Amino acid sequence: MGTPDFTRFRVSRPQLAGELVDQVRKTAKLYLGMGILVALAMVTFGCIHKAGGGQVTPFEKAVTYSDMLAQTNNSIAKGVIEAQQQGLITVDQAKTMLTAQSKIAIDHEALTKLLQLGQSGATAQATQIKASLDAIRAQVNSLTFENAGLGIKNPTSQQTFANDVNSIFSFTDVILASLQTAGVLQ
Amino acid sequence: MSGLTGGLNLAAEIIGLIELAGQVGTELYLKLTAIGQLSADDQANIANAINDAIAVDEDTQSKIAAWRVAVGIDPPLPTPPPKDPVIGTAPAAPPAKPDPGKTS
Repeated sequence: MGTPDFTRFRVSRPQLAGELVDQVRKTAKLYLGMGILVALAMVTFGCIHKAGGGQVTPFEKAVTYSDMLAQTNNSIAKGVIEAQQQGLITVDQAKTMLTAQSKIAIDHEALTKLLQLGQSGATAQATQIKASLDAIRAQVNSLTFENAGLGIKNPTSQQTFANDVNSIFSFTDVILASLQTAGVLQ
Repeated sequence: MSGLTGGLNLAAEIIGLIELAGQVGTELYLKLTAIGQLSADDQANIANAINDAIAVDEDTQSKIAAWRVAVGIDPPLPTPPPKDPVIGTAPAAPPAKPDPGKTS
């Protein structure tokens, strides 16, 4: 056996490294989505704790999940901007997502200002609260990749994006249910 | 030796990319965990959650608006007029025009 010739590896390494970095860059973005998903899964399913082990009231639960919805929308928006700046998605794709996310933020701010009236004050504004929640859900529906024509070809990316967006929808479900339990909504 | 250095550089770059991409997810995880840790005071929890949500929604809107300007979708906002250098004072009034009816 002679000495193996490593020259060909040395020659191809820059190209291989470039491809590897590109692949890792794409994979890392998937981890971004997965991270959000995992975070949501951990917090959404029973991770609200009250000091002293007290009972979380339904209205308290509604505003807490409402705050989480705002944070999630904010983080996804930052992720979309970052992905566009790194060239992973086009300006048009980012624009479609961010336009809907901006509307979600506006509708959610309107909802939050109604909840700011307190439980009894919010009950008097039940119709507007329901309308704000419906508006957020409509924006989430418009964000599904089929409807928005985002052109995300990779099935894993499609699923990850769908999961991230659906998590906002799940928060509206919990908020709606909590407000119904609190007697704010019928 | 150069192969080892190249490999280390590549590893550093890969770790850097994963760290960058995971930053938003990690940040969200920490924020959601913090939001889920409520105090014993119901009213304080409600007020904190509402104030935080409004601030975050406004941050989302401003970041998206800034991005739209940066990529050229929206025109840049007009530059505000220069402020008077002395804080708390009104800009100096223009010199008064001479009254044509008066003679000195």
